[in-house]
Amino acid sequence: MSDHNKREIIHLENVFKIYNIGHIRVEALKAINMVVDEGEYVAIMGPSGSGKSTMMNIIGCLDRPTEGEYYFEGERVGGLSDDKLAYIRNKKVGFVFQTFNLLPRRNAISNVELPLVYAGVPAEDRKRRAMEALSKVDLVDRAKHNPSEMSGGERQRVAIARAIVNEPAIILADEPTGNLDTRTGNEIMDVFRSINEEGNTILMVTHDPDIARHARRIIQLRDGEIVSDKITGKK
Amino acid sequence: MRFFRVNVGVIIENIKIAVSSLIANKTRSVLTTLGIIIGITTIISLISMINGLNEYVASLLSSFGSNTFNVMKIPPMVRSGEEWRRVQRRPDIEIEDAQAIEENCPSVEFVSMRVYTQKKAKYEGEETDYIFVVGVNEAFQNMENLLIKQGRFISQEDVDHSRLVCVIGYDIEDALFVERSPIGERIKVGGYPLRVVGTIDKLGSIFGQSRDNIVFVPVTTFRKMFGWNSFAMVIVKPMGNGSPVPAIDEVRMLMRQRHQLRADDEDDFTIQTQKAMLGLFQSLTGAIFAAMIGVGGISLIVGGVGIMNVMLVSITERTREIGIRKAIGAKRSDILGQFLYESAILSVIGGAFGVGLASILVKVVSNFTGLPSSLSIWVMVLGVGFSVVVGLVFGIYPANKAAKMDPIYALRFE
Repeated sequence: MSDHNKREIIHLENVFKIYNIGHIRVEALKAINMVVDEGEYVAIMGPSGSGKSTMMNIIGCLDRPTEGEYYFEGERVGGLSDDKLAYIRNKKVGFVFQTFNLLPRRNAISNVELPLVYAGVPAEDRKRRAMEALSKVDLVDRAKHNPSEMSGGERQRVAIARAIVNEPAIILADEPTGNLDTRTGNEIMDVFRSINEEGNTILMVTHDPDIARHARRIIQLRDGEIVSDKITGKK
Repeated sequence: MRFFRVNVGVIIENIKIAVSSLIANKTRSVLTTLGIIIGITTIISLISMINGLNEYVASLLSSFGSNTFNVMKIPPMVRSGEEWRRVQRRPDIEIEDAQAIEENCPSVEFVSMRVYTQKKAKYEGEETDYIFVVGVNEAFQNMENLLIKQGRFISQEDVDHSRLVCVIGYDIEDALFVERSPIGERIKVGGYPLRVVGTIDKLGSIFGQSRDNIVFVPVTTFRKMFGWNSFAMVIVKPMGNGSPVPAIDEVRMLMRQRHQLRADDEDDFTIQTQKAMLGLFQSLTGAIFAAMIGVGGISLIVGGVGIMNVMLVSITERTREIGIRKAIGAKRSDILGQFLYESAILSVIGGAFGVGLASILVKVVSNFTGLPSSLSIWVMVLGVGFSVVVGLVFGIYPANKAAKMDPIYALRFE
């Protein structure tokens, strides 16, 4: 690790994910080795069924590898309890989903506050930090609006604010532009670029090369294996 | 340490979620709580009514003196037609029995007599409906704690000389004597003219039946006018406040002697103590109580199952929400808490409505019957507490199902 000058956030070591569906054995991930350092902006690409989402779920501590080791900030995830995994998801990971996944009956600010509620942050601090996060995605004036009153792009920006509000070690975005038109998708990419420039680490799954181009490193997956891993831009 | 800290924010969040989801599904919530409402209403109003009844009976008994007992021909509880025919063949309890007990039993302080029938009373063209005509002796007033409003009660001379006199209850006075004092007036009872010598204070009503439509006459006069009947009884007050057993033994021996029973014959009369009466009453109310608590309990279970059902529906509807919450860091215990709060709040609302309904019901019943109602705070607390327990017990299965849900599955749920 001495050759890294940045802190290591994600470290997958020979990770397998195997499903047994009836008598059929499906290897969703095969011998994955990957390291993501602090401040990186990585896109994972691949056709559907290539194992992108499975990898994302494992990295996001929603799922565990069948074999191999996964280290999050140097800590072995395999041996952690459910509560400790929930703690990592809460404090260390910020999720951004294709379908936004906001709570429909809650306004923007209370959606953004939610991770802080589970983190046990007092109410006044929650409001202040949620407003800060909303200002980073330029949505302060929409704070009191419900998701149903917002456009797709606005909803995804609320979701990004929710992902960054707890100042996580990494932001995991699963097809974040998949439900958006090109122009709005590019706006979202601008938001990602600016939060990456502030020092946030981003790992994004996409099948769209135009979107992947925004990242600084592109990993190609096929049939559960990494087939290429390229740095595209300068840090 | 941080995993064991109580997270107040999550508790408030959970209450908010619960309340907003109940408001969002108003009709469903109301229908769900119906079972709880019925169950709690039944249980709370029954506890209160039976408490009131028991208090009332206890107060009646203590006013008689707790060691008095009755000597009667017909026992208060006859269990079969065969027994009924057998007790019918027993000799009646006579005035002479009362006199003999008074003269021969040293452990007895007072002896009173009671025999009754139903007749109409008339005065100057006014006529009452059927009223109770009760033959008594002079001791009856003290033993029953009757308060004289005007005049006097039946005296020993009245009994000795079978005088045509009477003491009238409040309803009779109210019905027959509008503007003048009844004392000295003659009323006709069952066709016989009786001079009113006293009036009784209002006694009130029990089970919707007035206790004031009553006329007391000397027991000897009663026998002359209306003959005798099976329901005549002697009421015995033993000396002091101790055990009635010595007096009971004396009375029993005397009665057996008077009825010329042989050593191996059964008693052909029944001696009933206050304690036995209380026991009889309590076993009666106890049986009603048990049956109704059973009904209340069943509706609570039905209500609980209803809550469980609605919670299961609600969890399925909110699968995705559960996934989102888990993805952003909700622990199993947070999700468990969220749905337990919801089912507990649902059933507490039902319980509170039930307690409210019960207190109205108890008031209405108590006004109607004249019985004291006793809806104490602790019974209300018990009712609400009980519904919390129902909510938690029937909420735990759905809540646990939600808490155990796989976040990946939940997030994909459409």
